[in-house]
Order: sequence, then structure tokens, then C-alpha cells
Amino acid sequence: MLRTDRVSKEFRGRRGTPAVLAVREASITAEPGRFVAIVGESGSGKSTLARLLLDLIPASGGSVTIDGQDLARMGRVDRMRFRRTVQAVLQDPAGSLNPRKRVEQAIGEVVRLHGIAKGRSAVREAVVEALSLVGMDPPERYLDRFPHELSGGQRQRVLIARAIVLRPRIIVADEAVSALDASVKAGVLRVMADLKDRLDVGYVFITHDLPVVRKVADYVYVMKSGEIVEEGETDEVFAAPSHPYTQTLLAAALEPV
Amino acid sequence: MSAPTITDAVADSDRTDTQPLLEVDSLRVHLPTGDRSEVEAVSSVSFTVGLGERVGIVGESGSGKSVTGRAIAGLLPTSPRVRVAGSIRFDGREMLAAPASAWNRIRSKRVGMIFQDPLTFLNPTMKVGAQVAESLGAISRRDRAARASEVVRFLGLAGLDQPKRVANQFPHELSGGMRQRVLIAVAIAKEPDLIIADEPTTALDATVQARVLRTLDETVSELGTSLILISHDLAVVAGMTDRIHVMYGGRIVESGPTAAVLADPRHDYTKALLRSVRSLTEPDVPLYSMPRSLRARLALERSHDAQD
Repeated sequence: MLRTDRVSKEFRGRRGTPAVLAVREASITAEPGRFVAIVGESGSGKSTLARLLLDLIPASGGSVTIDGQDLARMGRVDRMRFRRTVQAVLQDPAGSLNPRKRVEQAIGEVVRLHGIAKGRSAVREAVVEALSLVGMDPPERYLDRFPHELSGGQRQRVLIARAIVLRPRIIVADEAVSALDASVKAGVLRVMADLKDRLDVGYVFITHDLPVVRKVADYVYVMKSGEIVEEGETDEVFAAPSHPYTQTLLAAALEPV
Repeated sequence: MSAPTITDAVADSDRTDTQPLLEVDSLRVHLPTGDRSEVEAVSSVSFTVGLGERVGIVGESGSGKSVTGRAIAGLLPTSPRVRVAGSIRFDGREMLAAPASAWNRIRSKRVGMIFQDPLTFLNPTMKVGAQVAESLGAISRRDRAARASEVVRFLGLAGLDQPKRVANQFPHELSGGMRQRVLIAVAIAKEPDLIIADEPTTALDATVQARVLRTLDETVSELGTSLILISHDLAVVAGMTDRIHVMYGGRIVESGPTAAVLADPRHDYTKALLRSVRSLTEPDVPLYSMPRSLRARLALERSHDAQD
């Protein structure tokens, strides 16, 4: 179970500008097999919270724990295992993939790094399996492709494959489908839901896209100005939002076509 | 002296009453993709925009919708490798072979543009007010007070709460939503006949998007401006336009009154697009993405058309 307990992040101001408390005592819980969403507008602190969850930045206060173990007190080996257990899929697939590496190399290098498989054919086997798990069919066709030879949706699937190849328990997805066209978005979301069912992966899904949250999330946290202002089962929050900010957010959604 | 109004501008030209403001006929655009390769980004697109009419162009990324918008605004890169063919008549006048000076005249007075990323179109070294003032062709440059009050009026019309204050700020001092409103102010300050808005709210948060769309809707209605709204988001186009053109693979695959097309789509692509959009919003419908077979069939149709 991945948990933050009243975690805060303060960014010190530069040249006389005041410090910014980007995340203020936020407590969230993510677990395998569950789709948890964090919603909020730009500047709400949701991406900072994602970075805290991924151990990309240290917390200024509070703690991030996995199965009760505090991230701040972990040694190198535990931290490496943490990185494997909690994986990231970010918004811009082009920026997260090295343009000079083919798909096989991009996924294969994390397989080797984390010692999932050794030897050329075993690594390739792991890569092929991951690609087929994300619905890239037939997987062999994509092994030799460079990122620029893939569509946006395919690149996003490669990133999910690269995360899933490590058999993580939680995937933190920061605006992972926001930039995609509707049809492609639906396809990627279906892959994510499928992995949840088949491999019991849990998600922390960070987005400003409320319809998507309503569609896929089990539980939702609403963030504003660094704070979690509302949380609850998705159906309940959408049916009867209690915080005025959540009400504003829901009211702003355009009439569906 | 009173400022020339839209109707004066129309009377100046040789247009007739039945003639649409904009006629795009068999527009084709080839863009280079590499040293020797090129792509037909737009193939044979035809549509018209009447006075005061609001037209939506929807499509996925790569459908050619933005290239179409840029071609109409005369904003495609000038390179011998960018080839534009067909016809774009603005107010009865053929613009495709027109000299740069004619385009400049049209863009400075009669066509306003709003794009997704306001920072690229705002000058970072100029105060917002001065940039809006550049659009005010009608008022004498000497009459500073009149110009300043017009600038404030248009910033207010564009939905900025403190127009006087904003006029004295630089673009970097404003939030994304405010910048987008400044761009709307720059566009409407020309009192143009036509506004081309390409993904005007895609980069904005939902609450800001709703406000900016309402502002655009109100100002366009108030000034009687024609609108071309380009977006990948059907919900944005649905609420704002009278007619809709659905683009795929550089072609318009379906056109019609917006409400009718959304209620009863005829083309398989439009049907699939609507089905996937709805699958994302309706709770009990399984997520639907377009099958590869449909995309393959559309590609085939396209190559058949190209041979004709």
C-alpha cells in the first residue's frame, strides 16, 4: 500500500520571492487493483504530489510510505525496489522516450537495470510480453521502431509497457491521456483498466479531465491550492460534491455531445 | 469622423448579397515532411462561411484542420515546398495568388485569429494595451485618449475583469486564461468580419475554458462576426457553431448543421468518433476506440479519391 501522511512540499523562493507551499499536508492512499484519481486545475499541486509519490523530490514535511516503510529512511536497495514497485507514466510520451532508441532498447534497458531478465533472448521475451499486454499486436512489429515512427497513442502504450514490464503494484499516471484524441484516449484507458484486472495494478491517476475520472476512477481526491479539499468514492463525489470548489469544477464541464 | 463600420467595409467591396464571406474551394496543401518527401495535408477541401455564420471544423490530430485554418489566414510558411492549390475567396476576392500586401490588409482589418498558445502570438516586450491598440486601425494615432479608452473597452469585452490594469501589464504577468482573453481582445479590436479560432481553449483549465468560450460566444454575437472554430473537442464545437465539418486524413468526410450531424451522423468516421467521445462520458458504455479496420478503410477511400 502506497500512502502519504500529511505530506507537504515547500519550494523556497528565489531572489526575494516568497516560498511556495505547493503541497500542504496531503494524505492519500493507493493500493493494487484500485483506481485512485487526483483532480485539480493547473497550479493545484497535483503534479508535485505525483513527484513526491514517485520519490523524485523529497518531502518538506510528513511522510511517504510503502507498506508502512518510510521512504525518507530507505537505503539504496529498498529504494531500488520501491522504484520498481511504483512506476510512472507521464503526459508527454515523446519527452519520456529517447528519440534515438528503438522500442526494444527503451523497454529492454529497464528490464536489465532491474534484473528482471538476463541475456538477449530472455530480455526480448520480456519486452514482447509487455508489448502484447498493452495491446500492441503483433508485438514483434514494433520492436525495431523509433519513437517518431509511432503514433501518440502507440508511444503512450510503449511507456505503459515499459512500466508494466517491471510488474509494479502501483502506476502513477500524471496527465497520461490528456493530450490524446478521444478514440486514442479510450484505447489507452481500456488498456489501463485491463491491466488492473489482469495484473492487479493500482493507479494514481492525476488529471484535470473530469469525465475520464468519472469513467474510470474508484476513488477521487480533489486538490486546490496544494490542499486536498474533498475526497470520496467517485460516484458519491460526482453525485453530491460537498466542497464549493468541486461544485465549480463539475459545473464548468461542457455539455456532453 | 466616425470609424468605418463593418457594413462600410462590405460596401467597399464588390460582393453581392448572396455571396458568402469566405469561399474555400478544392483547397489542397502539400507540406514537406523530409528532404524529399511530402504529405498532402489537405486534399480537396471545400466549404463556405456566410456573414455572421459560425462554422466548426473538427478532427483528430493530423486531420488537416489546423493547416486548413492557417491556409485561410494566409499563414502557411512561405516556402517553395509548401504548395497550396485551389481557391480561397474572401469577400469575392481570390486570395490564393494574392500578394503579401493584400493578405496583410485583410489580416490587419478583416480577419482576426486566436490560437492555442497565446505566448507565441503576443509580443513579450510590449505591454498588452499597446498590442490591442495595434488592432485599432480606425482611430487616429494622434487621439491617444480615444485609443486608450477603446483598448480598455475591448479588453473588457474580452472578459478581463480589470481591463485598465491589464492594459499596463506584460504578457508574462498574466495567467494562461487572461492571455487567451488578451488574444481575443486583439482579434475583436479590429472589429473583423471573420475570426479564426484554432483550439482557443485546449490548453486551459475547465473552469477557465468555460468562461473564455462564453466570452468568445458573446463578443462574436454582439459584433455579428463570422467564426471558424477549429477543435479536436466535439463538445467545444457543439455548443458554439451552426455548421460543422468533420475532417479526417485531409478531407472533409461529413458536413451539415451541427445539431443534425451530432444527432444523426452519416459517415462511418463521424459515427465512430462520436461513439468514442460518448464512451468517455457516458458511465455505462464500454470504452470505445476506433478499430484499425476502419482507419484502414478510410485510408483506402482516400487513395481511391486521389486517383480520380
